[in-house]
Amino acid sequence: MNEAKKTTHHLRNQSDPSVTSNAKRVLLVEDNDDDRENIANMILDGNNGVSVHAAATGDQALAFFKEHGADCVILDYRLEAEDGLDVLAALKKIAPFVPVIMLTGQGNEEIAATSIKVGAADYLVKQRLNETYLRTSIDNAISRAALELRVADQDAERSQFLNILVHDLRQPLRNVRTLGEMANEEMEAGDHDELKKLLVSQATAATRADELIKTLEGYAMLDQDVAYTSISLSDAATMAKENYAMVIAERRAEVIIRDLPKVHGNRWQMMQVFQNLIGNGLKYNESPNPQIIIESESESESEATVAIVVKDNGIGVAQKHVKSIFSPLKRLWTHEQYIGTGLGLATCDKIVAGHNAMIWCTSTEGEGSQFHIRFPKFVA
Amino acid sequence: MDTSATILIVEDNPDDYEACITALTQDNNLANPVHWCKTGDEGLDYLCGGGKYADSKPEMPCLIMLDLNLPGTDGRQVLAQIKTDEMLKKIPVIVMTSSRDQADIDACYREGANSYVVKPVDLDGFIASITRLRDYWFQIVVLPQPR
Repeated sequence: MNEAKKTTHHLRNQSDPSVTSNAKRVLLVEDNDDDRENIANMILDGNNGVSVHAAATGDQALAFFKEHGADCVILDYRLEAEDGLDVLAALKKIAPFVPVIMLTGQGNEEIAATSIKVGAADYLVKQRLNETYLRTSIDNAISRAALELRVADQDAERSQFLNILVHDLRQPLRNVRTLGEMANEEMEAGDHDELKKLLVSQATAATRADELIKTLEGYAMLDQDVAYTSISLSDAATMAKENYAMVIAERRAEVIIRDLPKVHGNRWQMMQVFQNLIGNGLKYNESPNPQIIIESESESESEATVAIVVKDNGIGVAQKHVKSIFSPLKRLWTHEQYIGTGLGLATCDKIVAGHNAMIWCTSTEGEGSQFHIRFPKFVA
Repeated sequence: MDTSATILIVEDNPDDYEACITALTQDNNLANPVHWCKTGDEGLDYLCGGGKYADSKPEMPCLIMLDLNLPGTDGRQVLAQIKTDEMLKKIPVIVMTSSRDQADIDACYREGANSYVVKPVDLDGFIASITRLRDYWFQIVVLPQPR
């Protein structure tokens, strides 16, 4: 698995990308006082960057887990008052993807097999525990769980995407067919003006389907691996601006690019991001002089991130939609109001996520939108 | 039957709206006025007297025909809002969409949709099904008082 992608997921589940901690948090559930202390020490000694919270009962563990969560749980199957398998089931109910490693006694292979069947990631025989044994098991369990979570996320995203796609593609195709049938009627009636109008609409509908497929191809390509180097965001933004030179002149628009930081990334992809944002800033804009400013956002020196902003004086986005605009195929306007595929910002979101960065929108309706992107600080 | 109550159509695609109107007015069989909202947000404004309908809140419609995949606030959210509003929830909502997705179908009925219609692909089929819907809702069943 690609390291950058893995962290991306982690990042995106948190509200602030700058506060990620890499320490693995292990929750140990063991009722025997001596065992608890020994095992906790073994985990701490065998691992760098790990923290252990120890609980004596399943109830305590569940209460802690509900409040704080954990990256991995080590659970004694034989607790004084509770059945370890029940605690396992309760944990899995709260967090289906949390890896749980069962501790069993020697000769309890049957228990071990059962616990794996109901969702345990692994089992360790208590009598044979040592630091290496524990560390390997914890590391494997955590990375496997991260992978499972990612696959499940992707599956859900894919099926939602397909569902909308089917609708969005069927719509223009239905129109092509309908317009054809109507044209046929007009032809029989001999109304050539009407016939001409219908055929033009038909071509427009077909073009819309074609556009959608083209953009979709580009969107799907983003899953391929690309080379990341040190890139200048100013260069990427300038290239994007040049590609819009004609439209900028036509709309009497102004695109101002101020000093932007260097980041670790892919130049072509970042150009695509700027291109989509500039394109939107020009399109969703009723001002006689559209203005787009791309600049750094002031950040204190100590922060581990750099942020830039693309500001426009366009129509803005209603507060209730500022999050959904990044969803694939989500549109806010009808085709009569503004033409679009609903993939522009989704493409930005996907590229930005690949850069381990975050994009979000703030906006005042009627005044303009600001698209903020925050990257991890580039260290040369 | 009350012929003064409005039918509200929430549909972003003008071609589909045209086909709807053609079907509804076929054989001069329907006297009720029709109002067209092109987005979910406009539909909600119409129903709640917001946005451009703030100055003169329209009369409640007697029937709502709602597309699911709408720009902005989408049809699923519009349906949910209608069906959780004390005043609005008695108005029958006919969901009209090209989505045959079982999850969509189930979710809409769960939210309180009164019918779920998959738009037929061909124009004749589309018009025929809306004409039959019209006859069902305006000749067979009795509708609630809009106010």
